[in-house]
Amino acid sequence: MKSIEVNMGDIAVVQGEYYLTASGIGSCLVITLYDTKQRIGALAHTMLWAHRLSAEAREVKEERRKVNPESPDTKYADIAIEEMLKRVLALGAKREGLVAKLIGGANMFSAFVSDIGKESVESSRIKLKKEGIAIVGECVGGSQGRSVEFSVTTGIVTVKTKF
Amino acid sequence: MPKEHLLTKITKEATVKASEALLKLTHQQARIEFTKIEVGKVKDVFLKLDPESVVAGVYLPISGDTKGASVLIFPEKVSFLLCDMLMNRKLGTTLKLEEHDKSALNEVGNIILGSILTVLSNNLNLKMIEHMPNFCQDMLGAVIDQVIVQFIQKTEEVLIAELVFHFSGTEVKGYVLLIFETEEIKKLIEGL
Repeated sequence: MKSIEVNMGDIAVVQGEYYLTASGIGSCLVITLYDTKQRIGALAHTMLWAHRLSAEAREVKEERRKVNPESPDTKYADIAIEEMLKRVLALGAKREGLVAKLIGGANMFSAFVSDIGKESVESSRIKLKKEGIAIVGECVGGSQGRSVEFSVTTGIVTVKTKF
Repeated sequence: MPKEHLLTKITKEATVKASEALLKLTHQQARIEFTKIEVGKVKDVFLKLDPESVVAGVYLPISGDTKGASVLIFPEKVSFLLCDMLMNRKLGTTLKLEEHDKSALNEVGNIILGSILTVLSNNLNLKMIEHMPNFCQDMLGAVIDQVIVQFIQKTEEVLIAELVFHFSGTEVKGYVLLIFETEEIKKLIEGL
């Protein structure tokens, strides 16, 4: 079975016998989408939520999107969710058959006042609910790093930690 | 001064300063050598170390004329050996980090990061204020992603320094990452 490592800021959408993996997740949030009948799966390795952008950064982002609409900035979880949805549906997934899982969103250093991971988790829950997608599993928060392996063949998501 | 000479100068000064500081702390003949300092992309870090490899990390926020972060990363094995040195144990004794070990490593990180920041600050004429160090032991990817995320909207470039710890006939490698908001990294690159 083929394995695809999804790096920080990227997404992958596949159908059939694949593993989608993301290694060494701290505050980043991994979101998986899965159509159990069609065996279509997607994994996004997101970094933060787009509403953190300043007004100036939003303008720059919008300008870039106009120039290159094919290249959405999937390091932002809300954009990644929209892009994953678009692509799984294009592959033949049925919206009513989609389920999601969330992994990550830890706070690795207590020095950080703003908990970016927690914010990504809470915002993603709201976004997925708005899209009508049920979250059927979560392994989030805490202060531990995680690695994720998502079997698109079975829909099983395995989470590994070192401690 | 030509850029490559300045970089060599900074590398040498950082080596001397960090080694002196480590000697004072450990009272042992240990040397730190900064072997390379270069500008790279965030993702380059994962070309050097497996994101799942367990590391000890010390994070030091920076403010002043520059806003940014510095992170010292050493492989788990190095952290155990360092603890043996700091606690005057036979090398190879430490197999797991206890709380006092983590505190000692935090202090070592503070010293090493402080050394390189002082050298950068002096050579580039930029005021850098260091804040409290923070320790974390986990997978490399997890240790650094939260730091990277704070700055990723403004820059994808980092300064990566490779360093080698020499002690008791042993040599092990560690890394320092320095991330600054866009204008500051430009100043640093121009300065270098």
